[in-house]
Amino acid sequence: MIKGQVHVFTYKDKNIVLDVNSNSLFTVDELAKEIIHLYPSFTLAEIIGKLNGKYDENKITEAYQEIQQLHQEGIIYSEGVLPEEEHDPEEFEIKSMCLHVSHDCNLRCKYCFAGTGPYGQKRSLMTFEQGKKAIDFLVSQAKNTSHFEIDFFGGEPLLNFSVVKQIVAYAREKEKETGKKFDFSLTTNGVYINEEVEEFIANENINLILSIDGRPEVNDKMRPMDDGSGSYQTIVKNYQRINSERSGNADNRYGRGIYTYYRGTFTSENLDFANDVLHLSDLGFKRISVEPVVLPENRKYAIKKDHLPELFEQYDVLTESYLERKGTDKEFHFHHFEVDMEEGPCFSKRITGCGAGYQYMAITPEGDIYPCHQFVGKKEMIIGNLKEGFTNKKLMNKFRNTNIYTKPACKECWARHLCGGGCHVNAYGFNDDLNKPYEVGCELTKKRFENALYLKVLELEQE
Amino acid sequence: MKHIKILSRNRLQDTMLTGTCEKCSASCQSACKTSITVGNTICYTKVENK
Ligand code: SF4
Ligand code: SF4
Repeated sequence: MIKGQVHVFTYKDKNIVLDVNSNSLFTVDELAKEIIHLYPSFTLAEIIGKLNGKYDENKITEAYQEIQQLHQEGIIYSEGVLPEEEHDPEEFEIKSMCLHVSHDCNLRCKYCFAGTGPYGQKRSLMTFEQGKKAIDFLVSQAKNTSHFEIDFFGGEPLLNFSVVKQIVAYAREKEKETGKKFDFSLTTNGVYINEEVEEFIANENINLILSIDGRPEVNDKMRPMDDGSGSYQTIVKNYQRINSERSGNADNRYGRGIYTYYRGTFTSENLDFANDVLHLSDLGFKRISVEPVVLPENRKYAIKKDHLPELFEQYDVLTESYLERKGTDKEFHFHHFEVDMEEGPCFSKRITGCGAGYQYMAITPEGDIYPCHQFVGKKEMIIGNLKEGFTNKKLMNKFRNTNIYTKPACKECWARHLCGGGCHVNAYGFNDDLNKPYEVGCELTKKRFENALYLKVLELEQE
Repeated sequence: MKHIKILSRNRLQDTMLTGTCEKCSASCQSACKTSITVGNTICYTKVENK
């Protein structure tokens, strides 16, 4: 049994209540807010005793009874049961694949988790033969999956554009042969986007994740070319061209038609990152995802606990700007503010979070299989290779069986059904334990959700 | 109700209790690339059925 839990918080003039298990959302007045903090641990008489003098006794009784009624009807403090899932430990269905077509890069980003391309290994490119094997393997191991997602990743995947094209052509043949579908995305630093690339992504309906950190000085400091010069001028020109060509897709979101994300990273160098998000919006970009860098605390540019108050303020600035720009030609969507109360995934999915290692895999140019793109290079995390298939099902089962109810911190956390338990790579990297989430990340996640819920409240109030 | 306004009433805990339908995103690879948060992913089944 999962016990009832609510999260109550105040943002601006709104007292907001989230019922954690049902995902229902409420606003309450000051009195009800105070009672919810005391309920159900205290009786009505005790609550009257505590709040008397501040509120009229009849009003306290009235608000208490409203809360009690919703509780009795299972609308707040609603309980739940854990899903029953049985899996054959030998069977897996991986449906998403990150193809590392290039372990090389033309940029030298200072915070790169891939060590500027090779992930601590030798710089290399995937051959078409290897890409073909990856597609065949993907299809053969997932007998029940009808839809696959493939991302071309690196390093910089456009350094190996000819192989990207060959792999897509091969997958299209496979679609005809098997009746299965492939959705592709390309994560690129944008320098090599040219007419030929544009034509290809338009013809093949490729989704784009375009890297850019924001203001020119921020971007160029962190994302220099391999000769040390800045990348901003080149990529912005390319992105604006793409943006105008694909403007019809601005409303599409991750998982809904063809989409384009502008993806940045902020570090301790630009804690005022809201300015970078707004800069991207000023450039006309609509779907923006600017993320905290993930580096150990002792590394230059790392985000630390001390930075949190400043970062929280930045999310507040973004919330304000989001509202100000809504309905204008500068309207933008910030990835972490897009929370669906009704259209989001089911309970089972929310418990497990991402599918790294059992629904998702990353494949290197050498054919090694990892649970996720960010694990590449950590040899102990290899779950197989393209010659032998999966070789470490024990580890794959470990990923499958790790969820918010196996993580002590998540089990109690109000944000767990929105968060899904955080990133495995961060948990492993910071705490050496898949069951121990990265604390600074958790604080940022919770803050972003509070702001997102506030925006949701405003939206629902207008309906 | 005078003190409480219900804005969105759901029963998340009753949805798909016997395993996922496997249609939703399995990773953060197609958007933020650093951390999936399930609250901002989409249920493809609901979108398809619309
Ligand atoms: S915010 Fe942290 S503690 Fe809360 S559910 Fe997410 S990973 Fe777990
Ligand atoms: S959330 Fe973390 S572990 Fe999961 S797919 Fe994303 S980077 Fe990988």
